[in-house]
Amino acid sequence: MRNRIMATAIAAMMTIAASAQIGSPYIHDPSTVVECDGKYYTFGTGGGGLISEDGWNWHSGGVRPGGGVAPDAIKIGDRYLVVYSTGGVQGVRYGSHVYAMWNKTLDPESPDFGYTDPIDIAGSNGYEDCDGIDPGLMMGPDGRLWLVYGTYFGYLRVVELDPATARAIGDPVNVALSCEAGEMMYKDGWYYLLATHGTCCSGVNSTYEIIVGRSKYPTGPYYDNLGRDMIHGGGRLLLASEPRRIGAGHFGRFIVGDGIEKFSFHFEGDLDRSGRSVLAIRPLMWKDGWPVAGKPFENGEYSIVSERRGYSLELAVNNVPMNTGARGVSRNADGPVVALEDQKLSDVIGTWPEGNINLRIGPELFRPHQAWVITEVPEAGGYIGGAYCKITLAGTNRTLTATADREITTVPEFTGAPEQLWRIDQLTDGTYRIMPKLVPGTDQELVLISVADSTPSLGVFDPDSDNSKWNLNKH
Amino acid sequence: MNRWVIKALYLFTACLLSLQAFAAGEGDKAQFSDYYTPATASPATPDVEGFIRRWTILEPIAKTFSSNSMLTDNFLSEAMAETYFKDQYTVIPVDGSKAKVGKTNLVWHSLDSKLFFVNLLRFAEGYGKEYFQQMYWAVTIIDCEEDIENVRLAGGANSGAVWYLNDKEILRLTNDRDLIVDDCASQRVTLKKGRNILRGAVLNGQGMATFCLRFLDECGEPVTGYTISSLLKKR
Repeated sequence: MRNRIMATAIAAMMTIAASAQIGSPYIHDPSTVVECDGKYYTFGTGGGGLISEDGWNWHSGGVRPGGGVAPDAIKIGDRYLVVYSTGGVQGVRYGSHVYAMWNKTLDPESPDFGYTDPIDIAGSNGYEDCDGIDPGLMMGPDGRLWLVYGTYFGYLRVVELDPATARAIGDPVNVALSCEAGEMMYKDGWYYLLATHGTCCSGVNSTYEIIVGRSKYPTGPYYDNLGRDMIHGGGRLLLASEPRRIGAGHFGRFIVGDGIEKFSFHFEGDLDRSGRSVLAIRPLMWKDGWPVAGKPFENGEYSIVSERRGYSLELAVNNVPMNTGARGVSRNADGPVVALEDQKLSDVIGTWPEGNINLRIGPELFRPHQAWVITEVPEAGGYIGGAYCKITLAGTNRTLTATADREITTVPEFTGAPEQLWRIDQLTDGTYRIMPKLVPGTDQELVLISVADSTPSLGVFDPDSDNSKWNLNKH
Repeated sequence: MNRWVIKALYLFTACLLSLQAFAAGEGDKAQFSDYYTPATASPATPDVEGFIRRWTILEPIAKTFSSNSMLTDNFLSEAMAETYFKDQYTVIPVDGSKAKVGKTNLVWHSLDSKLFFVNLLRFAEGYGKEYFQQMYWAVTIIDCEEDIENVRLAGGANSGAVWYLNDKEILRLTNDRDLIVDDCASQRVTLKKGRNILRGAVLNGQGMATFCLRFLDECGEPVTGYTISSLLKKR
């Protein structure tokens, strides 16, 4: 009985690990995740923040003085700018302030750590249709720094900041109505305004959802996919909730590299964690000029299909024909029509060699040598937005492995070695990059690639090449 | 540093910040005239986007509920089944007339909104009324030269609302909503030739209270071919 309880508990932890940051990712109104000296940081309402060594396992320890609500952070040059807001309801008096402070590092253990005194950079006077909290920062492609702030009490406003001092330049402009938790980003000639609609701060009963509009100018107007101005309440939905995790809000973009983007946010309530507010990180994809939220990776059985040819990763073994009788080109209509079974692993595994078996890429036939089980290995750690996975042939322990000669093979058993652990990042176009945690004998980051239509290998990731991209088709 | 000294410094700083907010705000207090002008005897038309800006609005009625999340279908049904004032579903109020709610006489005000939406919080504030946890009744008169068929009433509200055209409920906005243009739409209705009465109520707990309404045609385009008026006392 005890073992059963333990097994159930472990299974529950695995379920959490499969789709949520691990550790103690408890935070509300997280700032955009920022990397500093190899660690990741996010700050939340009330002060303090979270730190992660790998972007997957989070714990408290971030230091942000000033209290207040809904901070944001950005790296500018060799300094970090952190903004936060204070204020609150005093009758109808939504008098609020946005404060800015600088730090040379976000690592509180560093001798260089130390915030400058906060300066008041924006806000609301308590009588206007604006509640100047929830600041969000964006550095534009031209080096101009922008701040968006505001809540449901009236308008979201955008104002330009001096990137050297963070002091406001010019007058704020109303850009959206009846939303909050604003954040801006830029891509391919468009400025995007992210914000939330819905109920905040009610745990699993929240209805927070992230919406987006876009504009050719940082000061708007921002329109949604229907052409509805965000100052008319417009906004295209990016993400509301996921199974077991409710109320997405406080978007923050994190660019991993060319072709790989993530976004951080919180779920107001995580049903697997007592309904607490938790940090979440998801792939950020782009489709037709609009950001699209990727889903958390799910353990399961997949075909690993090359974007290059559309062929499927498979063991380089003899193709064993299915014994269904003679069915050629003739339209023989003898006998009843019946459903035939799929080829089973037991039908073919005896024909495979023992020991290592190499790989190739072939037409998808849904045969046992083409079916892969991808499973997160929580104890192996993770990366920004995900846990390392093992990739095994379905029904076996045969494991995909990177080799010292920068190729791939399969070994009979999973050992947990780093060359058997795989980082799986969904790319901005929806395909995947599949990368071993380590390639023996080199520090170079190499990924699974197609070097020919039918030949896989390891190589340098090229976000512009279909050779570097894979689709994971769930069975 | 002594903990009490730190606390005292913190409180002193907080007081300074509050004073700063107060000082900054007094001169910028929201002006009623930024939001409304009095309705005139001349009929109005919808604005170019079809929004109905002329309304006769009753000073707000206190309604206790803790959160806009409580504005469910059932809550709205029960709220609208309650009688707050005489002839609440039939009266065509005259500007300046009164409705007796409990022991209080509340006044109807005929106004043109300067914005595409109606800011009820600023309405209540402008007449010196409480604005949180309130119910706002609004009525407008729509005159058509001929039947306008197959149109939909579309709108948004912060937060819950129920709207009636010629005494029939046609649109309901439930739960905690934000002001979003065309957030919800009615089924197809006909604006009949002659006089039509559009009335409804908006409920809001905390924060901003607003609504916007317009009629859309089969193509989703705004309907503008009618006039809007209020009943005014002879001036």
